Amino acid sequence: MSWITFLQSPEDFEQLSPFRFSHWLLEHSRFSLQAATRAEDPHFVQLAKTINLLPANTSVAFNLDLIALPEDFPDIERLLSFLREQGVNRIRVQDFGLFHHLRKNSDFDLELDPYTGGNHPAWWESFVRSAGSRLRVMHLPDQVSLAEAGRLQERFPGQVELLACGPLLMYHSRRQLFDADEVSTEGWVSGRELQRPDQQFSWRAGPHGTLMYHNRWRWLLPQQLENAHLNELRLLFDWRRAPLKLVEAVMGCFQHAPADTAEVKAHILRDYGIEFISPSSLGAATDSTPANVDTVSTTPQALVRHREGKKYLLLQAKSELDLQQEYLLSPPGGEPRAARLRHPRDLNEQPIDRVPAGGLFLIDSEAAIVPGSRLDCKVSATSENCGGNEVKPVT
Amino acid sequence: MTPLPQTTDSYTLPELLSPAGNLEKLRIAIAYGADAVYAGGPSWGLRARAGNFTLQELEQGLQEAHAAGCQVYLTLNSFLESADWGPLKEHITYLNHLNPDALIVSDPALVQLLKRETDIPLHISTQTSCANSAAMDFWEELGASRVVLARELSLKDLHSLRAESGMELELFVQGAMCSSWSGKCTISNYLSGGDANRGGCTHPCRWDYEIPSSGKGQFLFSRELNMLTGLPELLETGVNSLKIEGRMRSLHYVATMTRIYRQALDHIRQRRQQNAEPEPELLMELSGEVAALGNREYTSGSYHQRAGRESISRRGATEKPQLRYIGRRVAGEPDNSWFAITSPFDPVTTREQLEVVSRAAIEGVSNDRSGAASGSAAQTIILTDRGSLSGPLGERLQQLHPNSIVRLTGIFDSSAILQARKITVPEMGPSQ
Repeated sequence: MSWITFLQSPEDFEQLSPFRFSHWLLEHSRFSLQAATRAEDPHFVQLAKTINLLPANTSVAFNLDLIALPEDFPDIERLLSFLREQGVNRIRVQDFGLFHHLRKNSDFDLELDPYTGGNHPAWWESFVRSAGSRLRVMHLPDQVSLAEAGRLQERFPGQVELLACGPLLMYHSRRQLFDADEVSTEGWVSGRELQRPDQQFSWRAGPHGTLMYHNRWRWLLPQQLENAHLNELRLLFDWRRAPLKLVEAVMGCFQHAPADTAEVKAHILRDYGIEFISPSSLGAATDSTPANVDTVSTTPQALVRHREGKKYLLLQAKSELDLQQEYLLSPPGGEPRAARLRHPRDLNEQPIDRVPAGGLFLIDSEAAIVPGSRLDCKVSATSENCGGNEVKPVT
Repeated sequence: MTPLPQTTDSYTLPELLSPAGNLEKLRIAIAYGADAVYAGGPSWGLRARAGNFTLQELEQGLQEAHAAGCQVYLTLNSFLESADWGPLKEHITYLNHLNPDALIVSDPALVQLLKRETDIPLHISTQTSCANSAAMDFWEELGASRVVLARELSLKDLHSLRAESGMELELFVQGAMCSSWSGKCTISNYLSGGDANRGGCTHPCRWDYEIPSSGKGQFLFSRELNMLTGLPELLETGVNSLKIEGRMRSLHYVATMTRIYRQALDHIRQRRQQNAEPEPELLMELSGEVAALGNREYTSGSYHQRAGRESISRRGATEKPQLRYIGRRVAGEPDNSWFAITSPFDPVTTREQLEVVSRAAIEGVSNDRSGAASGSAAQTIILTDRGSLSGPLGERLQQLHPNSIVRLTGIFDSSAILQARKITVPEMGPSQ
């Protein structure tokens, strides 16, 4: 298993070099979608300084992951000339046009991160067919399950990469949606929709438009990869927006496994307000849920939230819910405890006898519930063990 | 004597491509002047909640469309997963039997497979966010003949792409659009479990959000595209197809948008053939008709300038449209003058005028309001006399009731639609 992370400045390298990264992904705000908006570097002076800090024979690629408009190409050609001069011979792209352009008109090796799509082996094989051995790395989109990653890994001669830890980009608009004088260039936006009053999504405005991130970060645990037999993966750590102490905490879990990740997560939640989700390695039941919002050991059943001063669980069931089932209730960062669900009600809070499939409903709990708690099946993650129910957090 | 302007017959319009969410909408799109329609079958069509077509309906629709000289493009533009692959391979046999005029796809592996297994032309979906000529080359090399371009492109970009590629270019000109790059948004996946790229988008971009420093509102909800007044410039770019969004929209929407764009395009051709400029007033009037039907704010996207904050709707769909659907002509009645009234609907008030819209000429009624200016066959008849409405027993009607049928004076073709329009004139009293 090898590790890779982003480098946006010489300072990044100074901070991150003590960790055991074997690959580096260079960024520049003109060409890299999520690069932090820092001082402009039109003549690549900062970029050259960063490259010069890297030891000889370091594995390095440039992250050219913008979706290119016609007007971008002159600057891209200038960048390519610069990278050739600097001896950087590998480029990561998202845009199929840039992939094609580089394959046809340059000698650069290629890495592909399509961001979305790429959900089946034939998709990737079509790129292997066109690029051959020059396609060195494919970064699997966050929606691809670990089970699928295994199948892809078997059929791709290059290296398969996954995001191991970092924020999840869920929205990318070319449009500048916020005026500079209205808000700063990054901040928080809250969901004001009925069911999501308490979720905050970070956003960023930059040269490539507006980006918005999920309120939770992804954290793929080493044991998940082992369980899924994915030990040859390359793991991407996205520390572009992370304080050093957070980096140290997470990297410590990878360097000194097995660590008590639950405790680390609880600390991170307390210190930085960051919660995590991680993709499932647990089979088809969760493979079909694109977001794969789950925990290491169980499938989450619901999020707890306040409703009009009372404490209810707001649930959505795919099939009739078994009220005899025993569940696990986990407060944020705390130990799970057994819980039963009682007194189902409809959304008007009228008592109902049964919890039907497909409906939204409320369930009171016998236990005091901390907002942000999670409800899981007690037995295992598979829906079959929850009496045939697959209950998802209401959205 | 004023000399007549020189005329030319060589002016070629791009194709007008309308949405067909089901068989009925396909028929109405054809009736109101679509050159081509796009439709989804039961699977992989990226509109899980549209009515869509059964396989039998697809065959029927294709037959009817071809008989009317209209092309049919079938959508297969969901982002595929491993489990889709087997059934899709089997589906290709059926596609070859069906033989639509094109398949709209987004998966590079599917493009390669279809290129091997069929002769059906392949169009690349806007889901691929194709925004440069290198991307067009990529898809052309795989075997595609047309791209539906990204909605982030400007008129200047279109000129440049036209010059650099021989592929057919298709563009959206009307309707809802993502504010994100198409095919790149996963908000719906994460926040509601509906995979946006597999037909399950729940439109969380239309939700209200709150930014501490600037209040609450719809910060991500794009205004709808409306390029009517920009059509003359758009046509100068040499694009091949103009697309109206809306497989999930109503029959009335499909009929109205197709009629309006048909009328605008026919007008432009007529004027160009006379070496004259299109009349901005007519295009403005037609644009107003679009606004009357919709209840959204509009934008020209990035065609004139890169879309920014001004392209976002802050108020959403809060106002009732000026124009609403009342009913359509009943098929099978011998004298072609009966209309079925939909239910439920609010009563038609005295501040609304009743209109019959028809693609074909309407016989036996005066008050032809539109169509003549452009030479288009579409007509709108204002029913100034509500006393001309009669019920099944011949009784005169002062009001229209849901779930009923009503007879109008005149003979109407099968595409005729009854609609009500808000007016500022205070009274439209019943006739004697």
